[in-house]
Amino acid sequence: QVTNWTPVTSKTPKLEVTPQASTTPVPKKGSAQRALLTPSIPTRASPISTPGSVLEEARARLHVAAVPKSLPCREKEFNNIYHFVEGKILDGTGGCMYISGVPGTGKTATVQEVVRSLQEAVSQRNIPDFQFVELNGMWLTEPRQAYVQLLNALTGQTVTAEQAQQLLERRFSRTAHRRITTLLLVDELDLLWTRRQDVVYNLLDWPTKTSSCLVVLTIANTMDLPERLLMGRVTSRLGLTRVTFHPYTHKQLQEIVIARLKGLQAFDSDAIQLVARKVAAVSGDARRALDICRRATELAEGDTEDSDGTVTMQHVDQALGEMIASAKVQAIRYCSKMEQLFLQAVAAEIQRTGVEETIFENVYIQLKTLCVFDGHTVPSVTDSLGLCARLGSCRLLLTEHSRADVYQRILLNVSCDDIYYALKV
Amino acid sequence: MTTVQTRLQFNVMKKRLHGSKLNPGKENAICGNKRSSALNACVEHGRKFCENKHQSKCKNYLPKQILLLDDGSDGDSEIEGEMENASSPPKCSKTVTEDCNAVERTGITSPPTPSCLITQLRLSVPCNSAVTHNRKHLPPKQLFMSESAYQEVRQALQGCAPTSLPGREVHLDKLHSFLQDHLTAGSSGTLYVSGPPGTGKTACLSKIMELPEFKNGYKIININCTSIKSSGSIYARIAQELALKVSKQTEKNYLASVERYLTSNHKMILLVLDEIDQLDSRKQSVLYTVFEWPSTHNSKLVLIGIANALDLTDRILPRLQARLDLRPELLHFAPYTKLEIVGILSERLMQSGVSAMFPPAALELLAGKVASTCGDVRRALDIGRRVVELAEAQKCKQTMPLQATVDHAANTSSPRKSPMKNPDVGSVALKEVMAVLNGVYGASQSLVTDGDESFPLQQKVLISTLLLMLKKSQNKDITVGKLHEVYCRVCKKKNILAVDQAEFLSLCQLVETRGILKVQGRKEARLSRVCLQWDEEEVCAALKDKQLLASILNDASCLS
Repeated sequence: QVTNWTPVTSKTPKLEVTPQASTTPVPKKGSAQRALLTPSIPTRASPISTPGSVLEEARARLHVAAVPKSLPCREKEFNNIYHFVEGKILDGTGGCMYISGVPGTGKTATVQEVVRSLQEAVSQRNIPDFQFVELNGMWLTEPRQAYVQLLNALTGQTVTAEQAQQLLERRFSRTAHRRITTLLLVDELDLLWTRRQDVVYNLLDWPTKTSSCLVVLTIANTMDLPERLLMGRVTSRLGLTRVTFHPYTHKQLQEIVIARLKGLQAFDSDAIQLVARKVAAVSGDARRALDICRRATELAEGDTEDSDGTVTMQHVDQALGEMIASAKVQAIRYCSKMEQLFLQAVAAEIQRTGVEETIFENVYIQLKTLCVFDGHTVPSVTDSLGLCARLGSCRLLLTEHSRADVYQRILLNVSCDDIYYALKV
Repeated sequence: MTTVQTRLQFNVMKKRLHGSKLNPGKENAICGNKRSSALNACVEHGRKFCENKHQSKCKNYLPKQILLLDDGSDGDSEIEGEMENASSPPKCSKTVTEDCNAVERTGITSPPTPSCLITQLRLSVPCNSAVTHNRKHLPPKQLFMSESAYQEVRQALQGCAPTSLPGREVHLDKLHSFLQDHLTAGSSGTLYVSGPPGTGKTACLSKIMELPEFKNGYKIININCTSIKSSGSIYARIAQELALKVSKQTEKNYLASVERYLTSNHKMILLVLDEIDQLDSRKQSVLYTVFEWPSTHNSKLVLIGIANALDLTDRILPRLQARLDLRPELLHFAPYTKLEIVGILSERLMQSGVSAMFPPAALELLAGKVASTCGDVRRALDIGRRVVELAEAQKCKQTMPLQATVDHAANTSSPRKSPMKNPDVGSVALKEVMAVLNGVYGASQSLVTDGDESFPLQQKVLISTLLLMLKKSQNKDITVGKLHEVYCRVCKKKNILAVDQAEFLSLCQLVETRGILKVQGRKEARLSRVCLQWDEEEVCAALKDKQLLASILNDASCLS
């Protein structure tokens, strides 16, 4: 139509333009809602280069996203979940399970591994077929959107939350002839919490219906979430089938890293042990250990001249220093002289009064004393307020709005020891 | 032609199962003669078995089994070549051995399994279409249903749809008489049903509503109030259930049309609102409106509200007490007692004929524990199911110890399907019941019982420091900042590298997920308060590291 259009023949170009603007986008949107079009993203022009050196290969394998074929050190939990779900699928009944554990302990990865194993068993005709749907509380703008996502995954239609809820209710409460089990994974369960808790209630109530064939696996961080956050009737429906993922110990972390690097001579074994011990002492987070190893690999790639292509203790130490760094001491060290004096004044004032909170007025008196003592020129009140605002903006101090002027309250956001340490050493 | 082709493939698969069943260990050494003789024996066996159990409940799939057996007694040599190089799925072999053994021992705990018989399907072209029809429509589930008695128990303890409600006869009678009276008199009434979760409120009502006299006498509207968006949209839902036509879709219009319908001439309505406390709103206008409907002139409405709170109508609806005709009748479901829970569980087990699995002592222990805390039958059933699962896993471990495999493929075949599994099903032991109960009722114990040291060192130091401050310090108001200061001093003394403040806060949150402490007031990280949630003794027990704890607690010099 556009090619036919010429400015000479057409007197009313508006008529030509408006139908395009109004009509064409609508069917497209409608068809997208009926899932006739799959969303796509532009492909890249050139293929990704395959890793060349050992270190590059190691770096690729150590990436958190590269989920390994099997998860070491989680066999017990794997079997627990696998048997639960397999039993439910074989029985053709529904049920709930609550999985908890601190971040980075392999909860989601284990569940996905279970699903993969079950799908393999289905393809070998060992167990009946089932349908897997994944929901994450973080993906949803609002808890009730969970219904929309679930219905979309089951039937492919996109409707409003209320309609979706009704359709799902009808689907799960009606007895269907040949229904296969639906395995629903709800990640970040605590984000589906609302005041009425209706979303969590419904998600956990459907499995209790005879005909639903719905197995719900819920994942959250907190061990006692059902008791702490959920109502009695929701907790009662959630049941007592629970699996807790404990933080990895240093041996397990070591095993995980070694399993990823199997067949590659990229890492010093002591270096791995150092990472594992450091991480296991704090959180036992596998992601963190992998990230530190990756960073160490990058550092090793950086200085190729004096190393023999492996990651040594020095690199790991450097990476650990970067990752578990105390930036505040550095920040204090790089402050200007007056700012440092100001911090010292705040610390002195806190020590004098014994109360954490001080007023600018008193700090200024301390600052004057310190300046006179050290032989500096005393800054004016305005300059000192500027100092205070700067320190407040880099969060070394917590200050009120500077509208309160000399009466503004000041809190120290670092410990006094840190200030002494930074300025003495 | 294509249909024939598919059927052929199906049968080949069956033959595979069959082949593996005869010789679980050695598929390679099958010679045709031996196999056919073994097959005949098995066929004989199956027939005998069928005749024995003819009156029992397995009779629904008997006819077609016999048909299949009769019709295919020849022609098993055609597919031998295919069979020999086909490795059998491990699961099927197991079921078959198990079934045969079970029959031989005549300790028939499980009913005759279709997979035992269906494995004898022949490749030969079926003579009439009825057979193919039957074969096609065998539900795929039944092939796998014959796992073991464990599965039976699990199904018996499934939480849904009880057929009978032992221990609730009084309530059923009361409900029945309430509904009957109102039905015969044609008068309105209100009933409020209360009780803690898992005491059979909804089950009782749904059972009553299934009765034909009420099903026909009433127009039943059953709404679960959690399924509506907000309390106001209940009117729209009721209007939808009554199939009313509303011109403008606003809350007011829906309410008006529902009320118009109620005052007009209509059939008796039974309105059941489950989880009615979800309807609370400002000034409780919705609840008042709903509870006032039965008292309006010539409305023939029986309202039944269900909720957990014992005194919902008294507490949040005090105005209802003012008028006699508005006052709802109350029906309370008390938590189940120990005897009732034992009754429920044993009846369920009895119905599916697997009561031998649970010894009475284990049942009593379970029921006593549940009854002493909440009297929630859902919980009791769940624990029972868990116990069975645990027992099954134990059994698997005995026959084939699990090894940690890095191999992905090895993980897929579960140990339950190992062919050498002992088909003899024992009963669950008291030990397993205790294990499950401990896992459920002791949050701290679950930490303790876990063998390996999965409590990171820094978190231990943090908790010890908190205990030290709580015990020795004057100021019990502990903020994260203060805790960090003391923690740094403790770490310095113990020669541990202290983490810095930002990291320390995340450390606190990690401990918080265990439920040991709580960080309140998240606005300023440094000023948020830290409270111990557990008892001190319990925390000490959970830490296990007595030496570290004692050394930190004894050193009060770190405090200032």
